[in-house]
Formats: sequence, C-alpha cells, structure tokens
Amino acid sequence: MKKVTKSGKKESMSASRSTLRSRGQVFCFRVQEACRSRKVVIILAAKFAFLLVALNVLLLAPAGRAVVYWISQANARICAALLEFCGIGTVVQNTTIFSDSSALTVLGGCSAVEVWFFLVAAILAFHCSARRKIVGLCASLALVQGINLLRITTLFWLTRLSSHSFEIAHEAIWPTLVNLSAIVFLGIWLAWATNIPTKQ
Amino acid sequence: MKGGIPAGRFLLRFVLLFCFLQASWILCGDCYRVVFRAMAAIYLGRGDSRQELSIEPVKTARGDTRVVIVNRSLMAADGSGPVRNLDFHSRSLVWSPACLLSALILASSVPWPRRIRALGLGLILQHGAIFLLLGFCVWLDSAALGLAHVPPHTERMLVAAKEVLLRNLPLSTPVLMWIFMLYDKNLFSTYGLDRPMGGKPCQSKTMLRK
Repeated sequence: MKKVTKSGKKESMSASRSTLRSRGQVFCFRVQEACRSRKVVIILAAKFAFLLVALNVLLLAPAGRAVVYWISQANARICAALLEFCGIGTVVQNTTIFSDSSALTVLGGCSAVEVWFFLVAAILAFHCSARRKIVGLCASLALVQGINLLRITTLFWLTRLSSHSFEIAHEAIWPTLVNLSAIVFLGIWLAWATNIPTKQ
Repeated sequence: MKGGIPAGRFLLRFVLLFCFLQASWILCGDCYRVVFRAMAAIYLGRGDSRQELSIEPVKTARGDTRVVIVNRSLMAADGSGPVRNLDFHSRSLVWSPACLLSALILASSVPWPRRIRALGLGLILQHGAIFLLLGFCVWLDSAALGLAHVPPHTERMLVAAKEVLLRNLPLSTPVLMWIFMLYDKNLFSTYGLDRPMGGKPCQSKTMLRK
C-alpha cells in the first residue's frame, strides 16, 4: 500500500492543476485552430444565415406578403389551366381552385418561396462569377416553381380520389421531394459553378 | 480526381439514403412520436408553478402533436378557462430534418468513425435546436395567458422571428450542421468550398509553412 504524505498530496494537486491548465490551453489552441481552418466555412455560413434571415424578413413585410399572395394566385391559375388541359373542369377564385366535386386553397406557405429563398441565400453566399449566380437564381426559380405547380396539380387531383392519399402526398411525399430537389439542385449548381465534373 | 469522390456519386448516395430514411417513418413513426412527446414533456415541463403544460397526440390539419398551455390561476373551479394550443407536425418539424442531416452525413466520404461521431453529435444538436424553438414558441404563446411578459413593441418582432424560424429551421440547420461538422478541405474541395474567392484553393498557415 502507498503512503500519501501531506507534501505528496500538495505535489499531486499542483501537478493536476498544471495538467488542467495545459489541457485548457490545448483545448483553446484546438478551438482556435478549428476556427482558423474553418474560417471559409464560417464566413460562408454567416453570409448564408444573414441572407436567409433578410429575405424572410422582407417576406414578412406587407409588400412581401402581397408578393406571396400574388405568387399563390398565379400558381392557382396555372394549375387550373393545367387541370383544364387534362380534362378536369375548374374555376379559380382568388387562390382557391374549385371543381364540381372538390376545392383546394393555395395558402401562403404553399408558394414554395421559402425553399427558393434557401437556394437564393446559398447561391448568393457562395463566391463565384455573377453570370453563374444569375443562371443559378433563374434555374432555381424555374425548378422550385415547376415542382410546386406539379405538387399543387397532383394534390388537387388527389383530393378528387381520397382524403387519405391527399394527406400522405401533402405531408410526406411532396415535402420530401421538394427538399430533395432543392439539395440536389444546390449540389449540381455548386459542382457546375466550380467546374467540377459530376461524372468520373 | 482531386478531392476524392465526384459530386455525382455523393448526390446519388444522398438521394437514396434520404428517401430510405423518410420512408422508414412508416415503420418507426409511431414509436418516434411517443419518444419525442416524452422528451418534449420533460424539456417543456419545467415551467413556473402557475403554468401547466401537457403534450397530447392529436390528428388535425395543423399537426399531430399538441402542446396545451394552461395558467392555473385563471382556471375556474369547474376546470374551464383560457387555454393556448400549439399544434405541430412531428414529422416535418423533427423527423425530416433529422433524416436530411443523417443522409448528408452518411453520404459523405469520410472515415466511418468520424461519420458516426458527426451523426451522433449532429442529431443531438438538431433535436436541441428544435427543442429550443419549441420552448421559444411556448414562451411566446404563454404570454397571452399572462405567464410571460412580452413588451408590446417587441411582440410583433418576436412573432415574425418565430415564423421565420419555423419556416427555415427544418431545411437550413441540417445543411449548416453538416458543413460545420464534416468540414474537411479534401472533402469539400469536391464542392469548391476550399476556395473563398472562387479562385485558388485556400491554404492554412501550417500548409504554407510546409
């Protein structure tokens, strides 16, 4: 058995204190190194977050709400035209599409503006040429609105079939597809904007 | 190719994993809802003595989980009184972002121990962020029952902040967390994220010294 004397105790305590200090220093050094090596990503993330918040704040302003309403109305009208083309007779009133057996209201949150803003913030935060950014912004708008039109059209069609299938498509399938398309688009755009081939 | 995997292969793996994880809701959804409600009850239950919070399963268009906020001092003897209900979809608010983060991390070409570490930490942080958001929403709603004091001039701003966070947190936080946790020059050079100005890859001081 070891005998622990008072002086031994003091020594071990001071040793552990110095170890702790050195551990603390190592931790601080590691944090500094991590921040330094992640500087690019931290700047990128900060710009992205700032742009996302700024765009959403604009959306909450009266003018922004009017733009969202206008987009919802345009979506409803285009979807009604698509449904007419498919042989389903519809009438549009404000943002609601009516048919003989069902009705669907395109709400503000159904305009997919948030997903587009996510892409806009990511594209604008990333450093590349202005031409590539403009192409990215236009392509993302076309993609998001195209998918949203398809979403509203299929959802309206599903309301005529059954409410259960509408719920599954509305809550599970379409949100997954919209998020997936946004991330995949971002990945492809980033690869294109930095001239990195997507195929080996 | 410089930077390891081509972007196409990563995207393919991500799409397959994301679809698989989202589809697993059919099997795990009920169990996950129960666990999430229990966790939320533990987290949100720490209110003051006047406040009574309960988390109930519901089936409405606004959500599958309801947080009922009650101010005991405003309740009548027969149990009637003002109540605030906060409905949300546990799938879209919690499960989908967790799936997104998991798919992004698991599809990345980094060593498996690092992937597992990042996945564990990421899921904890993701859930933490959602719980913080829920706590904020409950606090804001409880002001209507006199349980919290929100200055009138800041109320509109806080409501706007709540809307912005509820809309953007599920899609943006997993992407940001993935970038922060798996940031690696070799991996992210696949996406040119090592080039701050879109030109030459950036070099750290230690690399320059070498």
